[in-house]
Amino acid sequence: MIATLSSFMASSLIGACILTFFLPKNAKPSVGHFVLYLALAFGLGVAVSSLILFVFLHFSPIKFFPLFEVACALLFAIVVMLKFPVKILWLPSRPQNITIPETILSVIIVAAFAIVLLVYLIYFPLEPHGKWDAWASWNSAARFIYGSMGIVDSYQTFWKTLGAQSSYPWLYPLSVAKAWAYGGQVEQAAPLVFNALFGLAISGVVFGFLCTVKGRLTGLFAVLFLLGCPFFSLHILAQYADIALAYYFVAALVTLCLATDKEHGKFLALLGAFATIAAWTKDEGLLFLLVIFLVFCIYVGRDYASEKRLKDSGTKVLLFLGGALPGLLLLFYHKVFFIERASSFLSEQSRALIDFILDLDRYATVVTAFIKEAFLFSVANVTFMSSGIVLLIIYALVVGREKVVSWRSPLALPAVVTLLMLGGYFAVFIITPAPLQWHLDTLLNRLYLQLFPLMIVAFLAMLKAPDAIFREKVFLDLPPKTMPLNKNKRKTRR
Amino acid sequence: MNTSLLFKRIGLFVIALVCFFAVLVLLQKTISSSARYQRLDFVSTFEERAKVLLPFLANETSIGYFFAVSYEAAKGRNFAPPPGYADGEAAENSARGSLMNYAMRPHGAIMNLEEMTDILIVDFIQNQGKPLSQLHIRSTTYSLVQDFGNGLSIYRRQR
Repeated sequence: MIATLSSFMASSLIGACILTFFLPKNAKPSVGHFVLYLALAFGLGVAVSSLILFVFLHFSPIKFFPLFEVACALLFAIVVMLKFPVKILWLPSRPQNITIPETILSVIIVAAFAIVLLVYLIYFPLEPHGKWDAWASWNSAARFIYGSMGIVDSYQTFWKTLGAQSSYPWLYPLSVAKAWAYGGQVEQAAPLVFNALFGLAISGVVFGFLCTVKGRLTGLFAVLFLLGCPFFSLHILAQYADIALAYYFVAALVTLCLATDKEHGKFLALLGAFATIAAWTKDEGLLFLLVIFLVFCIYVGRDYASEKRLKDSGTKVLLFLGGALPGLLLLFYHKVFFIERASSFLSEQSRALIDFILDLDRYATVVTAFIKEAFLFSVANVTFMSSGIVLLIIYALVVGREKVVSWRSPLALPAVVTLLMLGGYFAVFIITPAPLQWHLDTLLNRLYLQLFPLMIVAFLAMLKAPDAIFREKVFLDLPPKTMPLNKNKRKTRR
Repeated sequence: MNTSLLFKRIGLFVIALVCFFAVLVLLQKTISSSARYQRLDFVSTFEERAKVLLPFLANETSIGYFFAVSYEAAKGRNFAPPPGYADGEAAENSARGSLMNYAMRPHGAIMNLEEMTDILIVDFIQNQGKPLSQLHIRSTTYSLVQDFGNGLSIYRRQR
């Protein structure tokens, strides 16, 4: 366990060092910013580390990687300390004016975290290898990478034995195999720790972002919505890659929103990196990359149309591409040169594709499944009260919509991205060559899970902050007896 | 008194409690199900099967794995792995190759589902009440090295 945690700490340190280059200058972060930066540093570090490991395995066995990574992390840390001596000592400013509702919610959240941890301790020994896809694909791939002499060797053996499953992206297997390399053995808890840390990081990103833009209470509610989704907690135990993918979705989205203000303008590079890494985590990430690219183009185009400043727009494009390029190159290399038999059903089944598109029954089936699953995915046979979407809708009805947020506002971006992703998934189901009902039954709940943190951010960013509800007085002050209301009115008329 | 504000506060408090309640129910269900939980045991079953095979696989580089889940699925085969190993009942168990590999991998053994190999692990799960002896197909290509019982045997290709 210590070895596994050390491996993620080393990569997080690398992530933190890289992130320091993109942070605003000379500003002491608030608690929200601090949590957000920590969570982003973790995901960035894991991503960078997996990409470096992918290249490293072409030259050396995995057992030498821990030494290499720790050396890199320390080197990075020294460079950052020399370049940004102030930033490295950044600690959040002490939170001011903590209200009673915030204290109550914090206590509930801490208790909920403790209970979820207890659930993991009970459940993990029962299914230490995770659910079906975990041992059949993700953890199996990690075992192949860990036991092989190099990337080509591991790919060849992996391909021979697992066939098409070996075409899955490698962020998860590489990260888990790296954790095993730190300990020198296959530690069963490593995939669970990987997933749990990503689950925690999702909470950090969602809390940090909403805390920054909408206030602490909104951030706390967001974490509560995540914890109140049993499917989210249980899926961490399943040891699939969906939790990590959900993290990269929400991290990219948050960096996109933050990049719209000048202070965080450099975050466009992180946006490119996170969006690409989503595609390096799971194939659904390719769709996300496309959506983010589309939204980014609209955002840059709109800014250029309003300000006519070519230099600014060019800088934005360069930042985005600069962040995306390293991941894109390796992704391209992996897809083209490694996956020699990657499925290309578009070319093989173009005739069937047209039939699928024209088949109205498929649309009816997919729409029905989408609506049903939207309300049920988070329940996970635990309790119907925990329907995430229902709770978000009730929350929206209680707090009301923020009037200043229009569809052109940066705070509307999460909703736009979420809707585009849902549209993309819808289209994928329409053209899927797999049996439709089977595909919907086995995949749709996980797709909703991937988008759930985005939905939380999208909802809460467009709604009013609940702080005002607690700030106003329920019992209004009575007017002084000496000034009768009607007399006052008469006076004002005059 | 601002009633709507009061209701909003109560509403938010109820939402927070419902979320916490969901976590409590999750714990309660985990505790109750863990007591009567029958481990699916996919992996440990295969780990047990892998253990008996390992002494026969030392220094072998060409190892194949052939499995079937019923007499019907196995009948008439000459150990040539079915294309895509996804026919009939076998399709339901298509991850068995992955499972055996998952179990074998930490020990350094690599199995192949696609080619004719020097060593062949034949792994039948008893099904439909058929005696296992009936499932052992006569082969002109392979000779039996060891029968471990429970449908598990190992063969070597004849030179």
